[in-house]
Amino acid sequence: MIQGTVFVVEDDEEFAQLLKMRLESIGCRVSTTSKGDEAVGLIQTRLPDLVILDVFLPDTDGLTILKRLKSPIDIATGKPSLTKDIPVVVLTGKAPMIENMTRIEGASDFFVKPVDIEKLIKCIRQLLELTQHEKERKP
Amino acid sequence: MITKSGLRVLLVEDNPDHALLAKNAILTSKDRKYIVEICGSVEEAIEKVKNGPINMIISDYNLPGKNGLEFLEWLNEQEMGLPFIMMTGMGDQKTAVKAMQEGAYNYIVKDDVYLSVLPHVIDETFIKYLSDKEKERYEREIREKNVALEKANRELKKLDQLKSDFIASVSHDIRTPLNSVQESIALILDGVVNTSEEKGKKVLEIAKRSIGRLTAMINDLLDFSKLEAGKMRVHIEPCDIQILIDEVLGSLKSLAEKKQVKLVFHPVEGFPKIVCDAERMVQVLTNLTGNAIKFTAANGTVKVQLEAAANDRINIIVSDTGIGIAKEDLERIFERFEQVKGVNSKEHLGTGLGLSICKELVKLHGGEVWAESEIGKGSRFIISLPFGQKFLKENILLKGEKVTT
Repeated sequence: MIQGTVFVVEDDEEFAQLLKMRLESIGCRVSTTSKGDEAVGLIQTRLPDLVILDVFLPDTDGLTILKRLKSPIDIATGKPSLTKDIPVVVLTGKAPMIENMTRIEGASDFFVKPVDIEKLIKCIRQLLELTQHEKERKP
Repeated sequence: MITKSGLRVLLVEDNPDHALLAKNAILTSKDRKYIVEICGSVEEAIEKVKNGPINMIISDYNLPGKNGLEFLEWLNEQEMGLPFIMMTGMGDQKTAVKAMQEGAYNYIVKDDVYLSVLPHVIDETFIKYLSDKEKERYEREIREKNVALEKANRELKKLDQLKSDFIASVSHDIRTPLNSVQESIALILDGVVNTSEEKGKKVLEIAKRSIGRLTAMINDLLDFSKLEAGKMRVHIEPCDIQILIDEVLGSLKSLAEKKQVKLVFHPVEGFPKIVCDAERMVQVLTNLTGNAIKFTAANGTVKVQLEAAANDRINIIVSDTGIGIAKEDLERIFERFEQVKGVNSKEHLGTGLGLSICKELVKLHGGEVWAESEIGKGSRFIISLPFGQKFLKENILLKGEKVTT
């Protein structure tokens, strides 16, 4: 079991529910939203250990959210970003070109739907362990 | 403006004797029939050109008042494209060259034998002029054809782009339910959830709904490709449309209840039977009514009505109190590959082919479907169908369908 909080931004609510069950089964605490425009605010207040982001949300494009999260300075407040070090794993139904774009924007990893859940979980585990490790090293 | 009676040549020459000799020389041409008019000055010639149809000008250089080159200059300004021959005196080749540079068709030097050469020069110039005109016309035609081709090409490219976008979009849309089916099964197989418990049942329900969504999308794609290939067949027989509507509303009842939308249909007593493919008509009505429910907020109403229309037609009207459709989208929504994004596109799951399939299916019935709407107040989708069996059979036979009677 791994400790950690995961925030899922996914417009397909059914898949979000399934993903939540899966992540809870490995010990994570999970919150979800299907609304892209709420996502940034929620992540800024909850500061999860990891974000899973669908880049084809209907209202806000996932890439815009990724940019906001990863930017060193928060565009809205002008203060240093609290979210820039949170690892983001991107999910998408769309073509490989998105992969490069998301990597440039600072996503940790990238999965095309239908998602290979074993690989996704393995990736999440590694990222959460790394975060855990870094937290322990810091006083 | 080449007249049948003869080609009108305007001869500008101030010496009356020379003019007459030249005129007679021109008239000796065996190639063509010419009508020669003589002017003594450029000023006079300009008036002639302005007033009547002239096919060619032959002008001396040395004239009282304006000279031949100035006349050529004036003609160029008029952009009439008349063939112009410059006559120059002996040893004045410079003027001849200048005239040719200025766009004269030909020149002739007034030497001892020029009168015998003159008719040939004129014939030759005409041939050159006519072939130039022909060439110009062909070039113009080619240019016009190129423009048309380019336009057609652009339109094809646009359609191709739409198709590509559409395929990209559909393959994305199809992955979404597929993803859920896969993960639902994995959760059960991996023992994360137990199907005998509440959570497990929920997972199974998600899988079932996702498979339903996949099936609907694949059916749409199959219908669409059948229609595109002209292989869609309708099996028409007399049907009670009211029973079909009832069936449609029954199948959409749970969706309407979930969205708190009221479904209304008042059967009309003794409404005649119409000839149609019952299964396809149910498909069309389900699509239109389903859309209406999707785009209507809670406490709204979706109504299906029947009415007799002119020319032995009946109208089936599906109206809602939903968000409405922008005027510019009313036709576009029936086009292939066009997905009009709703306010909440999450509720607009599907291939987006539904309406174009409806349109084609209604067409196969010899009918029409269109939409009317007012933003914020709701939309009306009208299916207009002919009654007559005879008309229908003819119509379908015309489309190359094998209908045995």
